[in-house]
Amino acid sequence: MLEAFFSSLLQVLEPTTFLLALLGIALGFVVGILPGLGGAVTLALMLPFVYDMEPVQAFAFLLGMWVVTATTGDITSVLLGVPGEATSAAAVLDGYPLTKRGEAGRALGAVLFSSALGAVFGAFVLALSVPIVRPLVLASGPPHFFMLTLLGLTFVVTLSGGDVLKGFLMAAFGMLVSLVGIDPQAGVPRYTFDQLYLWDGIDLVPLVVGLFAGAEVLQLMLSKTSIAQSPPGKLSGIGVGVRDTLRHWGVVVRSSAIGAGIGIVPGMGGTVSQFIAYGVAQQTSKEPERFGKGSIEGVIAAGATNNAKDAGSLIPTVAFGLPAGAGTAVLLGAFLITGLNPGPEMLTTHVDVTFSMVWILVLSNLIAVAVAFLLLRHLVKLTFIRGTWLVPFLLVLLGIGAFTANNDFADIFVMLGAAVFGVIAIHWGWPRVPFLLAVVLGGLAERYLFLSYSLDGWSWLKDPAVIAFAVCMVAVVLWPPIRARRRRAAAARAPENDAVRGG
Amino acid sequence: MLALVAAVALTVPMLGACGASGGTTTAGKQGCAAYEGETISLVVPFSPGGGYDSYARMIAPELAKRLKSKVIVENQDGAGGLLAINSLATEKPDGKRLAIMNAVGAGGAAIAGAPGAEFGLDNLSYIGRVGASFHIFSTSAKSRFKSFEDVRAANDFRYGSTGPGAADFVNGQMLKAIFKLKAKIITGFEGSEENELALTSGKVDGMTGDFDSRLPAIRNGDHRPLLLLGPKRDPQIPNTPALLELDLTPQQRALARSTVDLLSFGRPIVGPPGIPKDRLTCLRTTLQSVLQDKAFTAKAAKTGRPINWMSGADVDRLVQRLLNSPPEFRSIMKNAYAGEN
Repeated sequence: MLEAFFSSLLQVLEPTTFLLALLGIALGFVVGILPGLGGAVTLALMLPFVYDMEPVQAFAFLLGMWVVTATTGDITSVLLGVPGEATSAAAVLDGYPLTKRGEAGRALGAVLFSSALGAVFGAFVLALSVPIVRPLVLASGPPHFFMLTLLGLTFVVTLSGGDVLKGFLMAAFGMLVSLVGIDPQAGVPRYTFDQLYLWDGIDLVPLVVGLFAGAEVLQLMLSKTSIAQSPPGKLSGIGVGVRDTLRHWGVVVRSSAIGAGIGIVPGMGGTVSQFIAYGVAQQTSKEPERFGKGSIEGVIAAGATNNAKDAGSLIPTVAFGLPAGAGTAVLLGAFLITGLNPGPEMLTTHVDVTFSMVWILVLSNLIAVAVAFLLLRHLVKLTFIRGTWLVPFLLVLLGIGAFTANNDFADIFVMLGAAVFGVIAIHWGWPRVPFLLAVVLGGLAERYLFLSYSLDGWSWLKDPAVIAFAVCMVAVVLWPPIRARRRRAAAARAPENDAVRGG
Repeated sequence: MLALVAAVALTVPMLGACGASGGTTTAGKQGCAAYEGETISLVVPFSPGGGYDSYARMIAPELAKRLKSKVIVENQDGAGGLLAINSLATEKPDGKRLAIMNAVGAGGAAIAGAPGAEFGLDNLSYIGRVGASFHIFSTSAKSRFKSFEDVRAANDFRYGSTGPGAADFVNGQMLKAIFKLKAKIITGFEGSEENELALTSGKVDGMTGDFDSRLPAIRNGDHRPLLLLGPKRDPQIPNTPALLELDLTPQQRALARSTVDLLSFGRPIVGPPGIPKDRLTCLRTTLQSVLQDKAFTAKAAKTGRPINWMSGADVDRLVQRLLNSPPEFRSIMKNAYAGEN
């Protein structure tokens, strides 16, 4: 096994394969930066080119491209508040406020470096999972996935920090939006108003682009200043961001683990894991109140999950041919084209191909981050351009971003609607994340609940893993008030501290 | 004099040539000439990456080469493939906008009269069928259902499906009706891959799905094929009986026949109603030449997207047969699309 692990590195470093990987990385780099043009779509467009490639070559090219889109997607999130991918939205929450303070370099340093670390972590998980993945995946089922969606929703609500009621209401509204479309059980259209467009529900890409990017661009239009409102300070360098990441290594490890873990679950993927990692980072942080206002820990959490999740989503694809998301669904096509059967043989006779994926994940991220660091100095200058110059260009990007996912004009209206909703939410302090996550998780929760019930009746409630999830949920709800009370108690014991806080 | 004769001899054929080429331009371009230098859109009714998308992207450059035109693939996802076919049906019938159709799902919706299917199945212009795979009914290799007879005898069989309107749901309803199976259909799987995993882990007892796509799980020993929903056995699984070779009553056979017909509908390339005859003929013969090209079909088979060509005229006849299927078939279809278990 270990021998295969290292011989697969040599396969990846073989000149043709490595060149193909570099080509993929270059493509992924650009695609990641462009909002809307997602990794999955680009993979699909590149699929015909792998017909004559060897398996390792094909995956070097495709995987190299795909994982890099997630890395560079964070760059525009931080610099312009425009997520380059739906999976890069969490990086906006703290990365963009840092940019506004003139600390774009630091934020980018942190997000990219944590991305690279997350990729290495995820790759390790993928490599280590090879012997145990089949029994593990076979033992889990719809009840566990259902509980996981509930746990995610619980997190989301407590994530709204001070105002849990507002978070809960936004999540409830998100759940309502998730009901739009064809009901998966009875095939009945719900809230579709006789529009076939609504049969598939509200598409995620225009929603994320509007809710995060659209709202920021609208605000930039109204403010008439540049994005960065103060000149770069002492603590604005890329190196500072890298050091920040190393200092908060716990956040990196936790977020990577969350990314890899949730990446395995079909349908959840990066959109969900980034916010759960962000929520966990907030809950475990010593300064939770700074989240959303430019906390470097928030940026690190978003970066680290982003790449660990790709490795996670490869696990069921390789072991069972079950794609966990849109990207891996396209990669499945590459298996067929190169004559590989996903399943047990990927873990035995073709284990070298699986291990080569691990190496590709690591190498392509390291290369992409190194290149990004070289370009950052110039990219940061963008944020000091007057908003009036930047806005038309951003508006075009947003329009294209919303349109290219499905080639449907209706998506542009969804994007605009989401942008207006986003501005209203920001203005009156209603959290957007619970809404977005409830839209994603609501549909999944419904599907897995019905599936659990039709498979086992209610007996799944007695499953030990289900009970463990329930305990976690209670802990998530109770922990913030307990911690707050403890802090108050500690403060009361130390009155001098209290005086400092009061001042 | 000799010079004059020579000059006349030279000009006459030239005039003739001019006349011939002038004729086609003045009378409006006929047949394949209508497509030279033009752009044809080939719509895929799903997002990029799936089987339909792969077929379209494989065929588009070959069509372009032979028609001397540009063929672009356009993804128009929505409503399980109905959105794209609905809008195609209202397009100008110049044959410059075509689509690869999910005929089992979208065509089935039209037969069932399901809401959302706003096109007439017999009005569409069928260029030809690109691929079709019969479906396989399989169980887990570890399960106690070792033959289709075991399934027929069981009264607690759990059949996994993605949900109403999906081909696996229709298949399940048809098998229940034909064989009076006492099976429970469990819906809600996101796709056939998730259903397949539930089968491997024993959470459901059986499923049906595209034979080509299920073959890896059969080969690696996870699944056991019990019945091919097709007219005859497949050489790759010679011990698995085919639906139409079973001993059936005339009524059962009629239902089974229509089920197999629907699956044979497969993945046709279609155009809007009323494409002029000369253009339709051009498109049909060009597609045929692509799909019967040995190098092309070998490459397609190698990439797991085998070509299974059927002429446009034969697809027309298949559609007529489906529209005249027994009333019981259509009523089961209607219920299957309405989600009645």
